[in-house]
Amino acid sequence: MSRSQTPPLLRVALAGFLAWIVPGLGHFYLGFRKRAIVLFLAITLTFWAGVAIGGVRGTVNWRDRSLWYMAELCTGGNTLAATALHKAVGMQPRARGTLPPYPGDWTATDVGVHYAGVAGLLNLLIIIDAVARGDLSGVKRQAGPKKGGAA
Amino acid sequence: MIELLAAFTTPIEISTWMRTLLFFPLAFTIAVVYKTLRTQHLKDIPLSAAVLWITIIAGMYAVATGLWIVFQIMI
Repeated sequence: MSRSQTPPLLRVALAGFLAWIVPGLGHFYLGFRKRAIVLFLAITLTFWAGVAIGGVRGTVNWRDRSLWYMAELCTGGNTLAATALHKAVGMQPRARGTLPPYPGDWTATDVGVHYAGVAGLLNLLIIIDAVARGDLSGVKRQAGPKKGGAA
Repeated sequence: MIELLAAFTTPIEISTWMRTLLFFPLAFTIAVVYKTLRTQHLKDIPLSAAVLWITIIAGMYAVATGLWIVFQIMI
């Protein structure tokens, strides 16, 4: 079944899910391919730059930075890969009830968390845009193609 | 491969000035993503993203300067 034959609700849901798994993939699926490449590069580079700056154990940390982790989860594929990397290298051990350890490089971790979290929140915008475009693309098809819409 | 993984597991050391400079690429990403979603024609993205990027940086530094002045007055 081609994209044009896909039921509108399924097309919208698929565009949103694809945009969550890989930034820009929802737009790619809908036919906005150049925009998709720009969005993919912008989000993925920012997320992994944050992980490189702050280190994966401090940046993608669901225990000590749960709210930031929720923001990061908006860019699903990247965060799941980073979570797997975090689990592979191991969580920093600390006694129950104690504050998280902040070594001398805590500023780098703070910057990294901001990078990855902002990348996640920006991907939330991308998901919403993909869902809106998926919904509208059916309307446009019925009304006829409009010049300058898809890139 | 191990060196590549180590780049993502070990935090880098950054100074206060470097932390200030690291705001620039983050603001650039915000500008590019926002304009990529909002601009109708792709060829308009570079210029409009650059204008937004400069606007964000100028605005944030204006807010920071204002807060710094308030902080100096209050102490």
